[in-house]
Amino acid sequence: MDSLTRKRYVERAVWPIGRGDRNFWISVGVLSAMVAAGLFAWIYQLVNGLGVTGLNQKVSWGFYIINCVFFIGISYGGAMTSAILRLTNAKWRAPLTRIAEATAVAALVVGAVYPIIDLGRPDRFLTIPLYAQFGSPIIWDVVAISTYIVASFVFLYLPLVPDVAVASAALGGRSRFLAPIYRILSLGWRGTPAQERALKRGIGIMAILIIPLAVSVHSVLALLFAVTARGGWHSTIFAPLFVLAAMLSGVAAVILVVTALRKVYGLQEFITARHFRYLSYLLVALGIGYLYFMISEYVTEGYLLDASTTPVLEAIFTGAYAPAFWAFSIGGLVFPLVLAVAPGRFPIARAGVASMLVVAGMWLKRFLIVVPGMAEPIMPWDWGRYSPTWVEVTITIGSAAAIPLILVVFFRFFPVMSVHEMDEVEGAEEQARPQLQIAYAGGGDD
Amino acid sequence: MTRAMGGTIVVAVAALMLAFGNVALADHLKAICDVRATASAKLDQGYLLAVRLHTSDGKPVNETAVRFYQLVDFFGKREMYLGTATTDGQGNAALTFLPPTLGHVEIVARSGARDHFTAAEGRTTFEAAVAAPAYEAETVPLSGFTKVVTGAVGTIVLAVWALIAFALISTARGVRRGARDLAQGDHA
Repeated sequence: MDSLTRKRYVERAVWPIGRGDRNFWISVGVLSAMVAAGLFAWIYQLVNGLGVTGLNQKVSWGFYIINCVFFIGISYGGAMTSAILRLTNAKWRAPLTRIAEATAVAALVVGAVYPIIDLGRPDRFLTIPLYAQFGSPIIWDVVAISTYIVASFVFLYLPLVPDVAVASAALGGRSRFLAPIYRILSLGWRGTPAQERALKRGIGIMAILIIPLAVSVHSVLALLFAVTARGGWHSTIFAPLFVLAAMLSGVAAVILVVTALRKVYGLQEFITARHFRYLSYLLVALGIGYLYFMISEYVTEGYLLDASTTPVLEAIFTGAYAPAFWAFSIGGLVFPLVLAVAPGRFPIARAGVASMLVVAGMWLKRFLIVVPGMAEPIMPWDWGRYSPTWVEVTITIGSAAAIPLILVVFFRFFPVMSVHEMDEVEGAEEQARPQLQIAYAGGGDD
Repeated sequence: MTRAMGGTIVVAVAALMLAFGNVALADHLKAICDVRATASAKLDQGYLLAVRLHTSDGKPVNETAVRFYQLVDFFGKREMYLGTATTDGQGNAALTFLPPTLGHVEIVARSGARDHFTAAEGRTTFEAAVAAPAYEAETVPLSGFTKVVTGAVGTIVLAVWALIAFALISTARGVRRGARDLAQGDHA
């Protein structure tokens, strides 16, 4: 990267910082209104009780648990994308890692709130640590999610340290209020070799740690279902299935966010079709893996036809939930994967549309896991029914809007692309180039 | 002849109804319930909750069901049903009771209204010196192994927290030290 390109890169990376144009305020206003509507619905629920939701005695898990699994899954994909790209030292990662890490934290914060919303009375959350039952997955769920939240914040913060100085310079003297905060956050970064070494070690530890942590979070979430004696839930493949589903939906969400921010912040020069092609490959690899796991699960259960599982399978394949299942399988999984890798024009638009379909499809899949499993009677009763009310729908929309709101606000203060990482990657490439040339020169074939 | 017999029966029935009606209409006799608790001869059998149900003039009230309760504190004061015994010809009824815990015990005995006797209630308290053995849950299969696994997972969680703290703190210290060294170099 020549100095002119680097200058343009830095300009685009810090472009949103302190920029409060009309579009920014309109987007913040609209998203804030949606979040406020969600908060209003939650307060309404707090005042009037869980009776205002569609949850009932038979189907006591609904939108809230679906959203919890879904949003935490998205965060997992964001963290994994960044960690894998760092650990494999992918040269093209620099413009993407910051967006992936920020998406991970935003989605995680939103997803972690849902168990509290689902409780109905948030004060009862204290019951879990106060009367902890270590034999129950619930307590481990709390432990895993809280650990993962802390780790995700640290994983976002450490690579940000050198860029805080860049952000501070971009803001200049425009904000006296932010200058001391930037000074504290940058830890006195000057880019000395000793500082580089310390930072590299810290990021390396976190990149390695975040992967098993994210796996543990989604495995424990899966265990909440799998250790319950309900049809369609007590499956040995649930933990890896949940992990893969999280990665798939997370990578799709990252592609969506990258597509949107690329357009909004004018990053087209640096986030190119190549990045989308690589991310699409990752999406397709994960999608094929998920398809394999899902088929494996259904074939095993369908062949055995256990008394508790059969009604759920019937409901999903041919019964009341069949439209949702086939919409997910074809429209949310097979078609988007084909769309993402098919050769042809508009690779970025196709990756964006495919990701949107995958994200929607994975939400439907979580619905198909939670609701039919709950609705199926385990006593000689009728099937349960679940229809979400305006409260659940409004909270869901509000929380979904909270993710772009957090990202838009975050990138108003911090560079949208990692400048330090780009320098690092480019520096490594510059160092590696002469050696490669020598190697090729002696290779003979070329 | 038949008509004369019929008239006699009607008169007899009317006389009987009048007689029993008088009984039914009479005031209810007040029943009194005396309760006492005595330790059983065999200590491990607990206590004998004995009741004597009688009228105010001392006549026994027999064939009456007496329900025994213990006053307990379970999300507020409430009565825990212990059992029922029926009074004999002397108005006595008894129930063997092994308290669940040691210490102060308060017993309530209660009989319902029956025939011309009113409902009655009696109370007694005593200090239990013997109690039922504490409930011991059956050992769950693999419970020993589960405890080890729980401990191991807990240790791993603590190690992960320590590693996160190390990554953050060591990076912060390293970066700060680098800044300090640079500042000292500038001064020099």
